[in-house]
Amino acid sequence: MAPLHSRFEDAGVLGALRRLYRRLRIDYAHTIDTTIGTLPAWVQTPVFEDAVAQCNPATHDAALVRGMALVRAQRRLRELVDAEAAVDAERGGEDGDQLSETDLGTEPLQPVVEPTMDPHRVAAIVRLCHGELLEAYARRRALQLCAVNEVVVASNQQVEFAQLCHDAGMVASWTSAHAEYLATVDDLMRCCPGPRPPTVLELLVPAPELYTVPCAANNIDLIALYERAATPKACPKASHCLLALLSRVTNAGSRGWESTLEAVVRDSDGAVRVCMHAMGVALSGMHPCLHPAARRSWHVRLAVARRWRACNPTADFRELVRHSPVAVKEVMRLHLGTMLAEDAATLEAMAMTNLPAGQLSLPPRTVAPTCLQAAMHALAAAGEELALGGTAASPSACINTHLTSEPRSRKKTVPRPNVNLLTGAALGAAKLTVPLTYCCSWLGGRSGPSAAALCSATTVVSSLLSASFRAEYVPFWLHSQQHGLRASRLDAAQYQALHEQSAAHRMCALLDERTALRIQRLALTVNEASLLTVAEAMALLNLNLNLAPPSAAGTSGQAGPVRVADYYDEDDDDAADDADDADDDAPVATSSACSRVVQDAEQSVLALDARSAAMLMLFARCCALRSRVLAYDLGPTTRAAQARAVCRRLLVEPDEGETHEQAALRRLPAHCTQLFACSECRRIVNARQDGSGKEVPFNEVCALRRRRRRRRA
Amino acid sequence: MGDLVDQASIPTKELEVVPKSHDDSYLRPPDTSLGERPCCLGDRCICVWMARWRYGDDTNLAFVGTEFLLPSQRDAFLADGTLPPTPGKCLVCSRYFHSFLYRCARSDPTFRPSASISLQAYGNALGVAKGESVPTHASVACDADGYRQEALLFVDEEWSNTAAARGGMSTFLWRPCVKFCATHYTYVCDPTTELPRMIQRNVGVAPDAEMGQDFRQPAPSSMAGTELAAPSPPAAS
Repeated sequence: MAPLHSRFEDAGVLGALRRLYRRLRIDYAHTIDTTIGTLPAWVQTPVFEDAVAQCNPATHDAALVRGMALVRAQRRLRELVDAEAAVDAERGGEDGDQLSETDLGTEPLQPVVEPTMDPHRVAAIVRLCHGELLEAYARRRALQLCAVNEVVVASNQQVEFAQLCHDAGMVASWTSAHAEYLATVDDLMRCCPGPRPPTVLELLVPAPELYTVPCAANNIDLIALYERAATPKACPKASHCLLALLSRVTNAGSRGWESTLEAVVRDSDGAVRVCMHAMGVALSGMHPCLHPAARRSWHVRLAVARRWRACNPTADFRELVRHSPVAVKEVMRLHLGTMLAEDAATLEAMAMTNLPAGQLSLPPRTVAPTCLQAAMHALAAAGEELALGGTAASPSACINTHLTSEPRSRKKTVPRPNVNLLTGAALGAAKLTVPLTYCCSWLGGRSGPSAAALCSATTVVSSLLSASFRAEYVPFWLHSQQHGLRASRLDAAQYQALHEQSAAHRMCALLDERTALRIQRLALTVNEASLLTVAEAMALLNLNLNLAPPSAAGTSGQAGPVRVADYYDEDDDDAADDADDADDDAPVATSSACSRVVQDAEQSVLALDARSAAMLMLFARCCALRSRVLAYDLGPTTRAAQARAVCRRLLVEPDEGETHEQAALRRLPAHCTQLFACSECRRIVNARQDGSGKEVPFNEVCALRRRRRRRRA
Repeated sequence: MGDLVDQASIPTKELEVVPKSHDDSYLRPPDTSLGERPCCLGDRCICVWMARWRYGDDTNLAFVGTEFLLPSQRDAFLADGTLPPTPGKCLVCSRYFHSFLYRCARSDPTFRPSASISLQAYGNALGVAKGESVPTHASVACDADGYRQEALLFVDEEWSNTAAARGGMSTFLWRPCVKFCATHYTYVCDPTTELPRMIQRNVGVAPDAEMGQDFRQPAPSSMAGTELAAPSPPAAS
């Protein structure tokens, strides 16, 4: 498994740095001109070695002085930005007057740097300070749009806020990567006491990159696995746990979630690692679904990352599963969202078709979903508590303290500002926000049509025919039980007798041959015939829903359309007598477990007159047969290629003027050019090699099975 | 039953098979001096947007991709300068359209391939497209000069039980198409022409030659501080 991104460039960190710095230059033009001046290109370069080279006193005179001057200037500017953000906060988020450097008071003492300081450390410190400055700026800009515990509503502000969230998240990964690098170098230096401390090069510490710290951009890439969510059979068994996790995170309810997590703990170390990585990302706030002001400073993030790394992946994750399954669900939702951000076409398509995963749109595309953002705020707070609490603090306890779900009813009572009432300048000036609240069932459900919502006529008729057969079979089964005989399997004669006694079968048999043939041809001609709904199939057969009153034929005896429901009643007089009149008018469904859509479709069929219903049933039966063997025409090129392959395999050389296809069809036996399928077990009988199983020239699965059965018999 | 294939089979489209090397040659800006045309989406081309998101709005790596020509169309273009009558999309946008339309059809059982649906990418409207217009070509899969399985659109067997798969989009079940995923592309600056272009990574059957793996070669232990001053080739802007 590979990460989504492994370099700052690919993840978009450089773009975020440039965007934020360009805006910073506009807002603080005077201060930057007098302190930083023109920012050297190496500060933002993706290649760390280039920056190191520029800080090397052996090649560039006064490189160290220039580097530390940059550190000082950037720190001073960051203090200024923070001070202005504090002033803004006092004014309720309004943009206040710009402060000057003198308003900051005395500059704190700068650390003394030895002239022999390693250029790697100088470069890393300068770049860390650059990230810290841009984070502070993003924080201030975001606070001008909305407070930490709020989310913007107006669309123009949402665009800006989403971009800020994304850029701040990217810059945070830059800052933390350099902080982690410096901390690692310091740790190793401390471990190597001696007269000559080792150089950074000798320590072989990898350069700060995206992979240095866990963040959303280097989440494990599971896009290919998630594509197969609807077809688990297409995945190796070892990945089923992870696939189940990804499939279930978009469910609204929690039913089955805890048992899935327990299976993950029990069976899949890889899935545990994915979850632990995602949880580490959420606790340290290294993702875009966070208000920039809610993200902790790099000092805290470093402590959180180190504390989380020290956790036992088995014991601590088991505790999380037991006590905070909802938190794991939220972080896996974030993980899925970051993956879908890269697979933009899938995300847009899911959003268009109203699938739950389509709601997992993250910055910079849109503002993160309110509840996801609220959950991430809580997890960031929990991460801070975990880091500051030392080893005694339990991850699940910290998470449960901060992550509390509010009932959905309370969320709905919060009035939402009406954006439509504001126009033009008023819309730009107004701060339209709603408070952040978390409700664990925020994701899920579907407002659009799903596959289950569209019930095909084949399925409906199949359940009706099945019910009709059961009506004959159940009395027979009860009769057998009373006489101590087991009737679980019917022989051919019993099946034939029962089948022909069923009311539906007798009704279909009454259709004239001409009509039946016309229906069969229609079912074979229309490719999607087996997928048509009852209404569509009726339209194709030119049937009208004839809602004749049941009394028309039943009571007066006059000629008129007979409903299918009446036909059933005719057969069973006792049942008809006992049944309630109301029940006669509303035929019951074949199963109480049926969805409303299926029940409605069944009622439509039962309301048809007998001839129409027989036509529909025959049509559905033909469609079902047709759909069992779908034939595709792959075109003449593929046909010729297949014929050529068969001829080459069986050493048949076509004669002069003869094509490969003609040679194969004329000279080879039928089983070389046609597939033979077993109607009983639906397997292919031809000698073939499908690439599965043992390395043998060919396999004959069905033939072998049948032979074995025969031997047993 | 054998007669069913001839009499009631579901038709599929004959598609040209395109190798990966052909695709690679189109991940660049058009050479208008030769008569090549840019992607018909213009500034909304996904090549532009991905570069801007990664490197900032003022990056010089953003470019409008070259209109993608099939091998037969390119042969005609090289022979007599003939181009398709309607300007087409670049390879990346074309893949985005393929993926989007397939996912829509796979997720929505009521999807009609003949209906025009509006498309969006990265929050930008891209116009409208019909499901029956895709796929336009097939790619070489799991073979030399081809793509890995995970780089292709995953079309499962259940897809055959949708109306779209039995109508205008039936070809998806049989012909491999490369999906769109932003992680498959990396921007580089061509050292000879100094023009930006894209490289596909982690999608080909053959190991990536230009980009290599996701980690750098470790620094040799004898490397001194002065040697580090040698600048590395610029990767961005």
